[in-house]
Amino acid sequence: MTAFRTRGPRHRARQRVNLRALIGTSSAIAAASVLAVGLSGGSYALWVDNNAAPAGTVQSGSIGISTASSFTAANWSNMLVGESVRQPFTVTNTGTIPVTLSATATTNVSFAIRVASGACPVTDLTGTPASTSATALGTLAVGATRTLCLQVTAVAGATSATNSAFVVTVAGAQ
Amino acid sequence: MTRRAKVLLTAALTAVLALTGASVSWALWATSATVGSTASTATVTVGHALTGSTLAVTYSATTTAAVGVITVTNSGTRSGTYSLALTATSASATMRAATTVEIGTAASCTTTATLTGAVSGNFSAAVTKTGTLAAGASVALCVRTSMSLVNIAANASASLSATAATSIAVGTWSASAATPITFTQNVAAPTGFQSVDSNRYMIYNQGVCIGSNWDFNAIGRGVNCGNDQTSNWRLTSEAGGVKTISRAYNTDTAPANRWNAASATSITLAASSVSTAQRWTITLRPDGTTYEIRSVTQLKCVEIASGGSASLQTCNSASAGQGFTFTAVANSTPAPITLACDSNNTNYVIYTWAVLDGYQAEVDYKVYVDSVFVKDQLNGYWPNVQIAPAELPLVASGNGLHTVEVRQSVSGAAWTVTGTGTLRVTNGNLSCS
Repeated sequence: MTAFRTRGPRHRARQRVNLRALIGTSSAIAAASVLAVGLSGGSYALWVDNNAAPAGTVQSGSIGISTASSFTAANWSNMLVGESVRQPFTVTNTGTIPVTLSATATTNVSFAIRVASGACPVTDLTGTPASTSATALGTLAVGATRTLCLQVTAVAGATSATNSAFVVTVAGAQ
Repeated sequence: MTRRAKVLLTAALTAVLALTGASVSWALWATSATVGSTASTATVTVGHALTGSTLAVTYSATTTAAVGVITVTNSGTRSGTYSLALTATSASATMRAATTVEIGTAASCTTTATLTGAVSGNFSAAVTKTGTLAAGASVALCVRTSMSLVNIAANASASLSATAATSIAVGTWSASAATPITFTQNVAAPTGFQSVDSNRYMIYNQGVCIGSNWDFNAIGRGVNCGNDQTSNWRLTSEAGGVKTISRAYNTDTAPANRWNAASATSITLAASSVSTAQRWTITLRPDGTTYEIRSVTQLKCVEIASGGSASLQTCNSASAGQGFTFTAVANSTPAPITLACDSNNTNYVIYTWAVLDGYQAEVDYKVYVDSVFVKDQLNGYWPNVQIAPAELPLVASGNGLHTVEVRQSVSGAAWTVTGTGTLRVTNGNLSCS
């Protein structure tokens, strides 16, 4: 401060303005950094005084599902137009958080694939096929296993003597 | 930098840093797993085969039906409804309607078998047999076609081409056998009466002879049947299988009045001419025993009314009045015989043969030695000829054995051999052998 005073009046006035701007800008950057670091979470420990931290464990959550099937492919063979055949499979939440399930499918145009939550009913599954758009299957708790029903239908316009592989993808989201 | 600019810069930096730092956690919270398999649709195919006897046939008075076994096989992977359709592809409408078609099953597929589960119709439209066949299964179908004798007569020389096509329907799909079975059926040409020009015939309708009135040139049933002059007829073949029918009896002067289609409805006897009104076809009818007599010009048949009068009417093979039979008065052309020879006198030899009964007055004979004409014998009541050495032709007068042949002609018909013999010449003398 003394140095600022040794300067002529004109110089002193300019130095006072620059100093305030510098302080303001630095404060803003500091605040932004604090906010960013705070939201990012991972590097927050840099700001912890390790001298004061108690012993403990920091652990993040995980998400995961698995499927299991024992399909008999012959059951989906030799189909006629309009015929539907259903077989069950299971999905298990292998993560640490509940997941919201949905299913999509890819197959030949001669077939429509539908997926429903629960054991296969006697009657045909209806609704928009999973091979057309995703089918919502509800929430699956951590560690839970659910039976799903997969139905293959030979659709109108199907061609005889068609043989096609199909895949059903069950997606799990937080 | 203004104050407002500084504030905006600070906010932007804050947002960039905040969002950049926070985005790391989004990808961690979604997952997926898959299942899969295969699916297939049914295969739809069908085949057929014609086995055993063929459906190709020529219908005639003695062959009125044909059979064939068509085996239909569902070569697909699902049960389906097969269809076997028999369709005429080429034939007249009359021929199509005249041909009966039956499709069924039988333990033995024959022309007389009883068909089970049969469908029937004629070739005017497709005749179709349907049924259910399991995947991989076959069915043997007996296909029988037939034609009545009446229709055989009405469709003489006609033909029909047909196909047997097989298909199968499975759900919404269908398939057909790759190659249809094809076959052709014919109808025999008319069977004409095989007459001998030199013979005279009695003509009968319903067992009563057809005779004629000598004075009025009319013909009818039962008219003057006891007189060969009025009830014997000669059937002379002309080109194209037609015949003339002329009055005839055992006389050296042949009468010539012929059956004549005087109009579209009347028949009379008229003087011989080349007119087609005197030409007739004589064809076996479906009953296999009687013949129709049809006018070449009027295309109508001679019909005897119940009263016995003759007229021309539309041909009807079922009409008793239009059915005729023919009986030869006698055989004018018996098989050649060995001539009897008498050579008691070396100055000549005599050859003798049998009298040609019924034709004595109509027959003429000619005698040949080594195929060279020697002399006539114009009296049929004296069936012998005497040959003297001076009558022999030069080529047949040398020493040795020569061939003698007698030929005959009845009422101007073609010459035929009556009998043969031998003639030996020895230094101008004749003997039999």
